[in-house]
Amino acid sequence: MEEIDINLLPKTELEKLPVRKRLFFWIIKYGRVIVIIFQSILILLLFYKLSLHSQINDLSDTIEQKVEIVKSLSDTEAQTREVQKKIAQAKDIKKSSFIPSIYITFLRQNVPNGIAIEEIIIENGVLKISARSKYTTLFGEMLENFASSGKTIDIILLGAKFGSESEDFTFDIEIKMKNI
Amino acid sequence: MISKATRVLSLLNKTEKKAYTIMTLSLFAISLLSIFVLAPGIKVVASFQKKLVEAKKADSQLSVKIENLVKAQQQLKKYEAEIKKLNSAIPNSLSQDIILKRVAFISAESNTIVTEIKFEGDNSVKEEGGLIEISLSFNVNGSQDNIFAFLKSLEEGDRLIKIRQVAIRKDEDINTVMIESSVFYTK
Repeated sequence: MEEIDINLLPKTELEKLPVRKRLFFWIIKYGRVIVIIFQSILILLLFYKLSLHSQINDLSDTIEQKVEIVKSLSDTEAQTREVQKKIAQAKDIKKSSFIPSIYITFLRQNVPNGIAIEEIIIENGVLKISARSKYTTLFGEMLENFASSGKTIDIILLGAKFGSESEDFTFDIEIKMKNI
Repeated sequence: MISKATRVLSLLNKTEKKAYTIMTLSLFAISLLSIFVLAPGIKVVASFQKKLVEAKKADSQLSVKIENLVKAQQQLKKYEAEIKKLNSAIPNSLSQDIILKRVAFISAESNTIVTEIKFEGDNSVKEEGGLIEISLSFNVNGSQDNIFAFLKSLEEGDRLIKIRQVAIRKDEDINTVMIESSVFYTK
């Protein structure tokens, strides 16, 4: 059987309606859908905002508690910083200083008996000695000892004198030491 | 321009005209609602999100700080003796009396005689990063071995001393050592 579509209502012809009625038609048919969609989005945004707000509030409480804990540990922080600073300062001081006993031990180990040291000056990794001996061979032995010790960079002879009356060989040497 | 639009409109049939009208109105409404309703809402949410991210960052930083401070507290307890030594090496005041007592003690212990001890004047005071350096020089007499013992004790003392120069001279039987050094304290 053939289907017959009967519509007794007069068909609205939008283009023939005045602007006010055309707008009303659109609001009733389509505008409300758009408004509902936007309202739904806004409601979702509101819920999301509420959830964010509660999360922020919880975190703020936690942060406040933690700040109080940090405040109570402020002494520890200050003490730790002071200790760290002092350790760094002590390291710097030790680096720029030297240990005289190392140099003296070096001399004791390498200066042969028979050489009398009259003056020792230790400064900035440089060792200056003035000494005398009756035997020049001992001077040679001493230089050999210094060179073979592996602790010297340069050995410079600053002056040497042989006293004909006293028969003493006096000398001044400067030894540049390695970092010890 | 207007006549061109009118000409185009006259070419459209009824259905097309209806569709275009609905579409134009819909787009106009969506734009208006987006600008005046949706945008402010999104702005507020975005600012809340930013706040949350910042709060989370602050919270994690505080957690790390607390953790580190607790560790530091344990370390301070563990190394209490060493810290005491460090504070004696670089005290918070010059404490000249303690230095003098220490030198006198070392001298007595090593059988040497301190003939001169001098704290340099204000001109030689150096300050760097809260660390104050005071020059200290002293002359000591004694036998060679005793002078070496004096120097050794000086090196091993509690107070940190930076030795800048040591000059040992022998005049006849007397050995004299002149030591130029610095002591330190913090403010």
